[in-house]
Amino acid sequence: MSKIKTICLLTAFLFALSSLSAQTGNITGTVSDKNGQPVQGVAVIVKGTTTGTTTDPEGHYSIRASQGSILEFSFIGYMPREVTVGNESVIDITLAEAVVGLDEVVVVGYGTQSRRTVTSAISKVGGEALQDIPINSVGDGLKGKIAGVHFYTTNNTPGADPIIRIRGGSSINRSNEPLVLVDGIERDLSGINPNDIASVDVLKDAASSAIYGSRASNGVVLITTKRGTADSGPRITFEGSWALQQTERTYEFLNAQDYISYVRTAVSQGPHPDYNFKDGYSASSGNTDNSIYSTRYLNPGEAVPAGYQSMPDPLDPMKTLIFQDNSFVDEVFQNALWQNYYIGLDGGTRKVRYTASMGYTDDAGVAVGTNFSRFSARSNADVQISDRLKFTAGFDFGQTLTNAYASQHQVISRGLYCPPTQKIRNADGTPTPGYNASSPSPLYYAYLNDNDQKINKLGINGGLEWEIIDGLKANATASLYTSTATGDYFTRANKFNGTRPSSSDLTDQQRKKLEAYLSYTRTFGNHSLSVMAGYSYQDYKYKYLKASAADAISDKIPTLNAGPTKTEATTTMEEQVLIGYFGRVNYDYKKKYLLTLTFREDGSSLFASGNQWGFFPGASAGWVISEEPCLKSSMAVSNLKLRVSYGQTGNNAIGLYDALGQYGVDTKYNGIGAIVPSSMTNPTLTWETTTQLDAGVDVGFLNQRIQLSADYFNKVTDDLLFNKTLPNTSGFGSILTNVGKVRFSGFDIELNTRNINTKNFSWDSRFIWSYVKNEVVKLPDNGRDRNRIGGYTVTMADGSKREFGGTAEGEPLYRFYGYQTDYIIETMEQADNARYDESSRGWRVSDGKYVLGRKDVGDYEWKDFNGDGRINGQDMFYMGTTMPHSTGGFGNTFAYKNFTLNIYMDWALGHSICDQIFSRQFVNFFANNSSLSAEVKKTWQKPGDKTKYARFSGNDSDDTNRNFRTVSNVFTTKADYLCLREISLQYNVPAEKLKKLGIYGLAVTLSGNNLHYFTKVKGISPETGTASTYSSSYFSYPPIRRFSLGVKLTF
Amino acid sequence: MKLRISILTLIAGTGMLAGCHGDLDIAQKSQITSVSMWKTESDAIGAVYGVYAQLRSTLADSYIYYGDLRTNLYGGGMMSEPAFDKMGANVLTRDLAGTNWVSFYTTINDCNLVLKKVPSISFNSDAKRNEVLANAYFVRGFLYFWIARIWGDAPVLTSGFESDNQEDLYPARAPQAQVFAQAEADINKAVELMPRSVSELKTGSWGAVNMLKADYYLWKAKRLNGGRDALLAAQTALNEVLAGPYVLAPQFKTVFSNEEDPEHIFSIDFTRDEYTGGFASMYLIPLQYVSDDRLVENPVKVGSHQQYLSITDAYEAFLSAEAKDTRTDVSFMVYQDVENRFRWINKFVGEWANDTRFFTSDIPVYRLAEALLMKAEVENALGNTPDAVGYLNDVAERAYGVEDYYPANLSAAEVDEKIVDETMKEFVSEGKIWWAFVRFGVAFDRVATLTGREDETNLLLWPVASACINTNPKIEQTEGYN
Repeated sequence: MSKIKTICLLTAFLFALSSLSAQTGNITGTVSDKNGQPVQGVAVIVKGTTTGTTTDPEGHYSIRASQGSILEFSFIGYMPREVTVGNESVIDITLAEAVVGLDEVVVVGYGTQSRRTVTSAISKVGGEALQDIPINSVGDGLKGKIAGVHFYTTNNTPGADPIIRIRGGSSINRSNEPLVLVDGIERDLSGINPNDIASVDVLKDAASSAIYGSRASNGVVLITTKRGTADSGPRITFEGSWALQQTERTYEFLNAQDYISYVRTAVSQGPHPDYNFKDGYSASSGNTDNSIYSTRYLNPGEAVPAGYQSMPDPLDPMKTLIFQDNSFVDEVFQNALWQNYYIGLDGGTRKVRYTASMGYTDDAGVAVGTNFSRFSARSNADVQISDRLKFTAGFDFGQTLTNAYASQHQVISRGLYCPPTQKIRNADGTPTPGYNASSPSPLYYAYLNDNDQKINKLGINGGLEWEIIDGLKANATASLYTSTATGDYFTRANKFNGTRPSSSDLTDQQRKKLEAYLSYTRTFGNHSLSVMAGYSYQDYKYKYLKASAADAISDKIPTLNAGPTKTEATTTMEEQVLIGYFGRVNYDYKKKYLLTLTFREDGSSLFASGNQWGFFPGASAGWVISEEPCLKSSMAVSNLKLRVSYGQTGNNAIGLYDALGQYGVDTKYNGIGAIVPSSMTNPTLTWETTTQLDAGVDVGFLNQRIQLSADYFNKVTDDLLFNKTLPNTSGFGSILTNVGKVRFSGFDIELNTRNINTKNFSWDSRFIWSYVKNEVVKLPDNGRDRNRIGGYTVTMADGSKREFGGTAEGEPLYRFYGYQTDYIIETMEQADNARYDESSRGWRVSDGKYVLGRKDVGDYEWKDFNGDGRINGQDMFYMGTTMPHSTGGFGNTFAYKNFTLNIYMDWALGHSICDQIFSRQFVNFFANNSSLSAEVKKTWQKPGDKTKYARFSGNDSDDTNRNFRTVSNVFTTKADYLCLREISLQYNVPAEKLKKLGIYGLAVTLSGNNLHYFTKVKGISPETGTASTYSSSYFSYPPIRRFSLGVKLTF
Repeated sequence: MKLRISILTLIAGTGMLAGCHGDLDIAQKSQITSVSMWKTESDAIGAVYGVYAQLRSTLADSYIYYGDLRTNLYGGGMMSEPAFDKMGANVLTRDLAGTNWVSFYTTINDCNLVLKKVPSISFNSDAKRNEVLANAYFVRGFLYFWIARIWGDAPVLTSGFESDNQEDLYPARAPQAQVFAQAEADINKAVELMPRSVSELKTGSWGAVNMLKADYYLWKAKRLNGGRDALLAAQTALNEVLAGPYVLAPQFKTVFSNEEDPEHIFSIDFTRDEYTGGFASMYLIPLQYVSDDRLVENPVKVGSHQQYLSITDAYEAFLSAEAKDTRTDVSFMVYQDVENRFRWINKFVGEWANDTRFFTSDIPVYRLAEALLMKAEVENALGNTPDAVGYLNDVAERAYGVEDYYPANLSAAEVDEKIVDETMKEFVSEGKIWWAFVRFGVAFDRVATLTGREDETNLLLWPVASACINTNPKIEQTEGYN
């Protein structure tokens, strides 16, 4: 009840204040630069208040201001201007360039605020950062551009969205995904056209994000789409861009001749020398027409067939081998087209403002059988019903069609193990399969499988804004968001599976939200006060339906009706409700001393009754030192603000059944439904609570030509939702508890400079650096050293125990461990004296025998961690960390007359990748039939060879001593990278040349995206650190580079 | 005035908002929670099928690790797998497949929850309630019997965990004798409660609980100094089985071609689209080795999985020694094509449909032939050797097509030896032979890789996996495996 009381009191307070008010009216106008070109994004603020707006692409603005008040116009790169409001209702302004602006409007939760009075950590990027580059998704255009925010791509398949991590996240086991709101609607970013975006604001600290309470621990991303402006347009914008796509990097493999030489030699020395002569082996001389492998002896008198090469048999140079030299990498990854079209309309009268747009993006997909397209439509309308009543409405629709591999692990990682001697196609033109069902040639996979996914997303929002009296506004908004995803899958009959399985699924999500809030803004002399309080109700429903069938009689019908055996039918329904009360007070004295207080009280249905409600407060304060007399007249320091904030936020990302316990009903036994206990109940569960301290400084020099913003943060998450590991005799693996504490701390730095600024030439730079480190502070008591979870317990030679790895108190997260090489064994004496290696089969070339645990010349001698003379799972060494500690970006924009050149680079440091896809390219598994890395040429061959690679011994995994199959430091690399992310060169055709054509603007852009990673990582993206690339959850689709040509026309 | 109305409206509105708080209590539709479970008879019956589903996943792969692979009669097929090589070599290392008991105890906890909750649920008939309880005792007794034989000392847990503050959550390993005692108590309880009329095959039945009882008491008699009392208990149980509805299949091959054959007493069910795979998936020839498509299924049995297991040459020779033995071709097949000699275990080939293999063969845990051999073993141990030969000959007659295959004048020692021989021939890859070797005390004689190793501590037991120790500091490694 207390919160309701609070709201009533606040409300009463607001009304009491409202008796003091003055006449105000609507002011509109256009802001242009010295060339008469409109300037978009100019902040327009009523001086001494927090009321503000920004100009639209036409430079128009509209703001309510009272007579005698002062309008401040400011924008980065322009001198700020102030104009006193007189009788006029239209004020047009010309801004002079040359200084970097201070007063942008930032979007805060439930409102906007001038940058000048912001005391918390909020970063903003304008929509222009997403323009003129060939990207599929919003996140692709933001990499390295926002301090404290790390956008990284885990999956490069067309249309996949990057992951967003704000200041490292907040949790160990639960989601680290921030809350994303697009025009107030909670949703993911996919399906949104980057062209539609006006700004991206990121709430990073607790004081700014606490207004979103129980979902704000990982930060909040607020995306605002473009809206129309009064007294402008209609204006039509058309954009078209076309890009060539290719892989930025892929693995290199041995060609067929080298492959045959290495494999035949190794096989002849291994336990299966017959594989060199039998049918069905990649380097065998005995392949027949039945085999998918092309290698065979040239028959006496036979000419080398077309498409074949020949070489002397390395085992018997008198004989000639013939073979095809195929590159599956080149077959799978081919240059592909990317296209993007966009039509936008915007404009407005005094009463009605509008935007509407349609976009279509088509990505043909570099990997065979993958592609993506998106159709999007959006419109926003603002209707001024009366001077005091405004209606806003928005609608957006996005449809994405995707074809993606069900498992990149199988199709790419394992598919590329097809050797170069494998025929690409059979005699009848169909692709050859791979070695087995779970390592198909990607061509075969694409030929057999349909994976069609369609997602329709629809968002509708509407709101009323009622200015009850001057300064007092009531807002009510309602929104509906639905996402309907369907997938249709079919596999044609094939060598490995003749049942023609088909399945179809449908995921329907619906989120309804109602929010209402009251705000009051008022200035008394030197004091400015703004108060806001509100209520939010959100209902989320989820339904999943899937059905599968098999045994269709032919490949003709991919749908379920043709399969007589119905193999699966399932539906899942879930519902969640979230109720919140929130409020905020902003106060400042002379715009010099600033204070903001925020709260939210949230109730979530995910928790059991009695533990549903949580309170999340935030406070921040600022001191604008540059307003003090001592600095006010300083030429060098144009702005200096100190900020500090402190607050609490929550993370309610738990499963629906974590608090209540679950008995699964999805199991059958002997055709009868079974009930299986699947999670232990814990009714005392509550949110993770993150407490964050942020201290920052904003400083501007030389009339804002140099602007620096730096923040230190320290966030500690308590009551960590932790899967406390249970003894494995308990029937459950773990129970979710609120035990544990983790700290994320670091800093964000953003530096913007205008290096050169002359009449015809300017050069601007932007530098971003985000650093975050983490430390586990407390874990559930489990009796182990540092309450370690997972990891290794090692008995040392002296009997003592050593524990490391996993998750432990006082240690950072995301570390991984593996074997470490000591040296490569060079002599038989060394081999005889080598440590007993439990994973070595002990094959020796010299005696052709297996003796478990022994080594051969050319094998790795592994380091013995515990000194017991045996190499086994106890001999693990730290190899790396999967998350980078530092990320950032460096951008430069050069403008010369009508040309603009933009170069953006981003980087990440500190993470590592253990590349087991790559290590297996040395293994020659699948009975010596798998492809080999080009680096096999660098393997150890004789004493004295300086190399990091042990001998190549054929099937290292199944036949020999597991030098490469063993997970070790050899294939673990630092994944530090610097990416040349974007280059764009734009030419704006001068306006006077276009006038007679009736065209308002024409710009031509040449640009590139993901042009090059400077990194040691081979074949895969360096953006995601991992302890193993050879995993079904790892995405091995290589990074994609695009070169594009774009045209933008405005009428 | 207007202001006051506005304030009142707001207060009223806020009150209405607070009225929505009840919306936070949502009953989810798609799953059962701890709040809605254990209310009705059907919850209890569903939970019993859940127990068997868990038992199936517990034993699907490991059944032969414990029961067969240590005999060294099995080895690599087209390819070998180090873990299986180690089992064959009787070099068991920590973290080897089969060392983690987590699935055993998960199934036991499911049994414990049934035993804890069912007494307070009302049933339409006491017989049904008794059947439900008997099934839980049967599976728990079965698993403790296995745990005691695999790991020796092990936790004995009977309370049923529902929350993390139960006091026995972190158990130590109880002495092996206590684990056996728990198995014995559970088995006797299962026999006490199981209605005689229950004749299910894929879940517990009167025949199944008595087979388990016989199995246990034979072990007790031979390995735990159970003496004559234990033998008589086994005899009683076997008499119940032999009086039951079970008959030997006329032909050995029918046992495996017809999983519902009345010879079967208890099987673990595998069904397409429900649960397939298990150890049998490692037995057949991978398709990629068969370059001539015409050989597929004619006669070469192919699978999509690598062949990691087959029988050894020595075992092949042993099984092929008697030309009259109709079991040989059912147990394994050999096909020599131009380049390859394919040899595969042929008992569990599942289904071949639409050119696709489905590993749907049930695990035949108990069948009548074993009851007959056990009966022979019991009678022989009780001194009734001629009777024992008679039961041995029941099995032999079907196998060789010859009446009185073994002469009635065999000595007791010879009968035991023949029982072991017949076990090796009758139960290829049925998870029986290792237990028979140990029970008859012949493991060190019959297993080449054990010869001369009698002094090694706990050599016939298994180590526990690191995961067992890392999740519970009270668990110590099996002595001899540190």
